[in-house]
Amino acid sequence: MANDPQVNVQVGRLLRANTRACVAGCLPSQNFPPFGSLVSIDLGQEISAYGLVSDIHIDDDGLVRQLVTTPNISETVIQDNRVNRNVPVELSVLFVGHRSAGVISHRLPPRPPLSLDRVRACGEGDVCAFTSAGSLGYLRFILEAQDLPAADLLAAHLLQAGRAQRDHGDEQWFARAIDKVITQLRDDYVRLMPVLEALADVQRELGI
Amino acid sequence: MSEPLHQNESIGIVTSGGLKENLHVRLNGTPQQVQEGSFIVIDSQDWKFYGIATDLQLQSIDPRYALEPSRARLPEELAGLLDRQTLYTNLVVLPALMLERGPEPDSADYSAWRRAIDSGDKEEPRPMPVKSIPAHHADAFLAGAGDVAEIFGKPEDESNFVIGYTREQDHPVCVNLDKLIQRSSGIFGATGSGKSFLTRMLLAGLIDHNRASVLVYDMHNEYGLDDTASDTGENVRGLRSGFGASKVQVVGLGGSATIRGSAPDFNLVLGYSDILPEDVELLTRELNLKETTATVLDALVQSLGKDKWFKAFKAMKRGATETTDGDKKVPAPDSVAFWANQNGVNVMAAEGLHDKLRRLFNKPYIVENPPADSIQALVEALKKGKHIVLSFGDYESDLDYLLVSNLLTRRIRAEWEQMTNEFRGKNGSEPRPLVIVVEEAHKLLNREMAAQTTFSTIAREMRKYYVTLLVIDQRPSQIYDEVMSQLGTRVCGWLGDEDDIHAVLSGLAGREALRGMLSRLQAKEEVLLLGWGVPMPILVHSRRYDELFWQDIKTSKKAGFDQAKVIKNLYGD
Amino acid sequence: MPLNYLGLQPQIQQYAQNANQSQAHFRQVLENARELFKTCASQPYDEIRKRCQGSGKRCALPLGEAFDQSYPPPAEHQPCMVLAADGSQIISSPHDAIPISLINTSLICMNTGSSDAPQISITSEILSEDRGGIEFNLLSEDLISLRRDVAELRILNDWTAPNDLPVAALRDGPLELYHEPRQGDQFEREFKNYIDGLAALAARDFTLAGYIDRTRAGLLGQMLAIYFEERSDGLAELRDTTLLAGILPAGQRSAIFALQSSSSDNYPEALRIHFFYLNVSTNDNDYIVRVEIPAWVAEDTDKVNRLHALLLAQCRIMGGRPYPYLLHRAHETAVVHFDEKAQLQDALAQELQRQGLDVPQPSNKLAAKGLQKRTRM
Repeated sequence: MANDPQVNVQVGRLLRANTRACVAGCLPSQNFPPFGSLVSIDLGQEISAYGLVSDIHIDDDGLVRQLVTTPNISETVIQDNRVNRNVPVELSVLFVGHRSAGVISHRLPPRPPLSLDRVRACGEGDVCAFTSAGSLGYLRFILEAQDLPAADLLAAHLLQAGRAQRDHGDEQWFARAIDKVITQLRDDYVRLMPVLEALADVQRELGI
Repeated sequence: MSEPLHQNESIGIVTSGGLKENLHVRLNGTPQQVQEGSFIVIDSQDWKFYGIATDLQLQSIDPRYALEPSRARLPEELAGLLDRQTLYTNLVVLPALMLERGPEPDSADYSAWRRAIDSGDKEEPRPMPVKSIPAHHADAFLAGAGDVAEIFGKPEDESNFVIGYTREQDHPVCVNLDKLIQRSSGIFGATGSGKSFLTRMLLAGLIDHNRASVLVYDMHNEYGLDDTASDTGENVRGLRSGFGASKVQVVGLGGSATIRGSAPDFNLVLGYSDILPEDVELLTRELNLKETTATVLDALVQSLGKDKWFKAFKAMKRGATETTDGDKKVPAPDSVAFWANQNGVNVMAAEGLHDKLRRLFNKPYIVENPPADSIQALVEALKKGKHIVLSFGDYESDLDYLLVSNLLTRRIRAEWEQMTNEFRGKNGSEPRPLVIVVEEAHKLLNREMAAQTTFSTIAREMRKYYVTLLVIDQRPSQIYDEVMSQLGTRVCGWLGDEDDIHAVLSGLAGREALRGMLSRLQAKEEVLLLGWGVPMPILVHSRRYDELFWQDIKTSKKAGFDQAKVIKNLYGD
Repeated sequence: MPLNYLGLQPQIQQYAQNANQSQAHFRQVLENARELFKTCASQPYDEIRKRCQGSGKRCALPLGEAFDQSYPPPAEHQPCMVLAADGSQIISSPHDAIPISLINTSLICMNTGSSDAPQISITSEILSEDRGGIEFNLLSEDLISLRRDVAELRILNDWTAPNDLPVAALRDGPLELYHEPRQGDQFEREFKNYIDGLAALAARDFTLAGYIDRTRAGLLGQMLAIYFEERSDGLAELRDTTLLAGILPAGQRSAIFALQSSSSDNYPEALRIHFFYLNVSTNDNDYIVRVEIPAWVAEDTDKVNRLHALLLAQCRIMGGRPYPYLLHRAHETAVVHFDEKAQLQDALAQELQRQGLDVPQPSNKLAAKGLQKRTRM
């Protein structure tokens, strides 16, 4: 992630995408954005797609599989594999909204990004702008996503966004977000309670 | 939500229900903000609906949220957020009235709506029994003072009497005394429920209002003169003490009767000629009379005359004989048996009746030649607008009560019937309405007696002859249900017995909902107003019967009703 | 069905039967060879060398070290710079639209005393005949391979040392060029380039080695066959790794031998090819490889020791399948995949088009091969 939390920094480039999600590749040596953080992809024509890092995938290959069997791997070999070898870290990104002509919408982007489009980690300003727009409708993308660890993805995202909002003066944002989550999941007790337990940890971490 | 509600703050929204199954309001906050019996107002577009809270139910959108405390798994704040969305209280509201309030006053439609009313094309909206229901999500409120006044009338109106205050917000609730006296009414409550105080208060209101004369059969000498409260030992002002002898007269039963050591305004003494066979027949159960009684009495009247039978029968001797020439014992000419033989009446039946009437013969308040026609004096006093408290003094037996109250009532009704007929025949002035207050009403109005007594006739006739009843009883289930159903206004304190509760609610809508409420009333504090005389059932904190009450009675009509002052006097700052 | 399994079945049975028969003979030969190897080691090495040189055959020539002994790695291993070079090539095909040849050479450099990631460099070169003309640009596979060998040495030579640490340079495969000089100027010129490359590395005092992972050589057997002429049955066919299995413990090397071959005389003295065998296994499952070194390395005990330790360390990185890690990485970096070849051809086609030239079509045969398989809806 960027050293300066206010600035959007390029973290990778697009490998593949569909209307709901995309996968970006970045070097293992890079400080890639953490799980749950907000990223944006410029689609051109004043449109940017927003998404959350929903999975970070590190592929193996034959060599790595062979190397892990050795008792002592020297640091230089580790660095070689991380820095030099052509095995990118894959970031799965779940789209949660877009910005079109300056207006943020919590709907899917009108089209997916294209190969090698730049993926940027959103700075705190962008995180606040996106999460404050509308009425948190984008949380549905997280809660409705199949085959994703929704509770942890939500917790990771709310930690990032809650911290940004708190630092920008809105201490109530986190409570509003939880309220929204409860609204969305209250008919599903079995799903809601683990989600809330995950969010309880976030609340403690945020200290609000 | 623990902070007090503002008057106009919604307490919840309507989520379901209907006319038959009551309305369900999902409360915004905790259950304690509303209590059973609360007067609820629901705003739905151009209509206001008025109802009474009959139940509170804890609900959850999934039972698992209710079964496991969220605080066991989540921090306080998160648990609060979760509970707020998943747990809630359902308020069950029995809808009673609806009122068209029209469009918002600042809207374009309002002026057209108002014009239609002003021009007479449309009736002025008034509360009417519910015929529809509010829409989904209509806001519910605790009734404000304006709502209470809209339905139950303004305290400052002359015919309105503040009987109590709404449970949560102490808005005064009135009963319309003009309406109250139009039909017979009742005050019910188990022993110790505060019935006597309630009665005193209502009677004070009626006397003060002075649209009807009041005759109280004060079996236990409670109402006329000052009394001492059995629980607190404090002095309780009587009606005569409160209003003075110019308005209220205490009549003592018997020639030398004193009431609590004080002399009554006058005494009621019955003459032998006042006792009619039907007065005796009413005592069948009390005197354990046989089936032959009616035949014997009929023979007595036939042979001795309607005015004289009692005196003559009393004078007959039981078992007196004389010896004939043949040394044979025969009934003496002044014996009961002799009279029976002479008149073809079974001797044993006649002697049996004589035996049983001996209790009457010995009553000191029944004399051959009363010094004055005290019954007539009593009737005249009532006709002149006086209010009478007939104290039974030492004659507190059921026999005394049944005999005197029936006898008197029969005479009074006959008098009023005559006055009414004259008035209708354009030969007289309109009779002054009369309210007869009957304690221990079940003794006179039970199933066996109801067909015979004048009381049940009065109850059934309603105000045809300007006489109505105010029955006071602790066992309403013992009162004949046909009589109960005629009672227009019912003021009911706490009742424990299921049958009594059932009886009080007979003939009313929403009985099931009101039933539980009656059994949970706070004794001496709360009463439920029901029936035709009140626009809708309502639970009130009854007004306190104390010196402040009397001060208010004396000043309110003259100085105008000062609600704030009364509340301050009653409850302090 | 790609194979006629029914027809193959009797052949499979026959193959296993033959293997079984030859196995017995092989055991006899091996037993004999090991006995002779031991006997031979006690003979005067001059005499052995003399006889072998006299034969003119491709074989091992013993030097000073007792060759029936094994030599453990040095106790300590000083930090050094390790270079590994490898190359791959695109061989031109007459069926291609643009039949180009390309050599891709990679160099990877690791400082064994540092935890920094290794440095990688890649050199890609399109090969063309002097005559020019794209469609005639068909170079022979041997020549391309030779040029690749030269390129590998060049990339090693081009490397600039960042420090004063000793440098070991590894190549995959033998140092000896088996793409022998054939007729033609190009071959001779490239061979000379190769020799020059070696000489330059010698001049920089690199510890150069060629690592032959699965050697089929029978240089020691041949030596025995020549020396024990009358008892030479089967010795010439015996692989050295088989002979040394059980003699060379894990982690130890054999004695160093000089390589006698038909091309030996083409190498200047200092560049002559030597070799030793090394058991890179860490357990009882011997895995013996051949390491070729030039004379300037063979004659320098420090370099040999450094190489010995280094190769073992590199193989240890790869765990259960020992192979020098850096050589694998050099190969991985250099190898040109099919789609990369396609991309290069596309880039060439676009450039030709941009310059107004006709872009030739691939052959119909190649086009037919490229027909897609079933596609998804």
